[in-house]
Amino acid sequence: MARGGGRDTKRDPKKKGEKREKRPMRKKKCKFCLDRVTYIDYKDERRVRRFMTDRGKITPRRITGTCAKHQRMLAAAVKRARLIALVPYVREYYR
Amino acid sequence: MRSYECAVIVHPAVHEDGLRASTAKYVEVIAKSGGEITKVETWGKRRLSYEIMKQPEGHYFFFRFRGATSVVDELGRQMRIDENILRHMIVRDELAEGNEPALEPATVEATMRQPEREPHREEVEHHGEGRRERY
Repeated sequence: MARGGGRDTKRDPKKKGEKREKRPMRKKKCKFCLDRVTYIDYKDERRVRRFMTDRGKITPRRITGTCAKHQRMLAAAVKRARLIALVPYVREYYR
Repeated sequence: MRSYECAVIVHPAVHEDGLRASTAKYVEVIAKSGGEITKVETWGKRRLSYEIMKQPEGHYFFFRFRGATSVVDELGRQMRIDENILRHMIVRDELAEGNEPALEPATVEATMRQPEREPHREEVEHHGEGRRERY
């Protein structure tokens, strides 16, 4: 994720005023496209959970790199899984 | 005729006989209203992600069937009445080809299918909440 610039600044302290260099992020590939997924099953709890935060939210596309088409399918699957209590709607206190 | 899948959570206090009875009951409901059952599956007793009607667990059942909308309506209506059913959900079965052989209603038994493995906490990728301000 977009951190880890800390080490670079320490190595070169004289460029303090300069803006931290933005490293070009490698473009993430949609995991579902790689597998050529045509349908995301709401019963597949493990797969669905991988795209949820530990609070139970659906992770945004900008973090997971999922394409728009698969994100829509994923959202539908998550919502179905929530309805039949396979995954939580919210987890207020975790850990 | 469309293919549907109905997920059901049955009250945890219901025992084996009761479970078999309610499976048979809903298979009959589907058959009587003109539907064709293609598969009945169960996951057994499972922990719920949140409590439903104060129950922390429930028996999971999945009915896969074909039928007109009237079948869906009738099945949903019956399930809403049944107090042993904590929750039900009927969705279109996207995985069905539409040509699965129909089962004989009287002989339908739920097949046990345990999902491969319970997810472990470590396996869940943490994208972390509360770090949002970095974006």
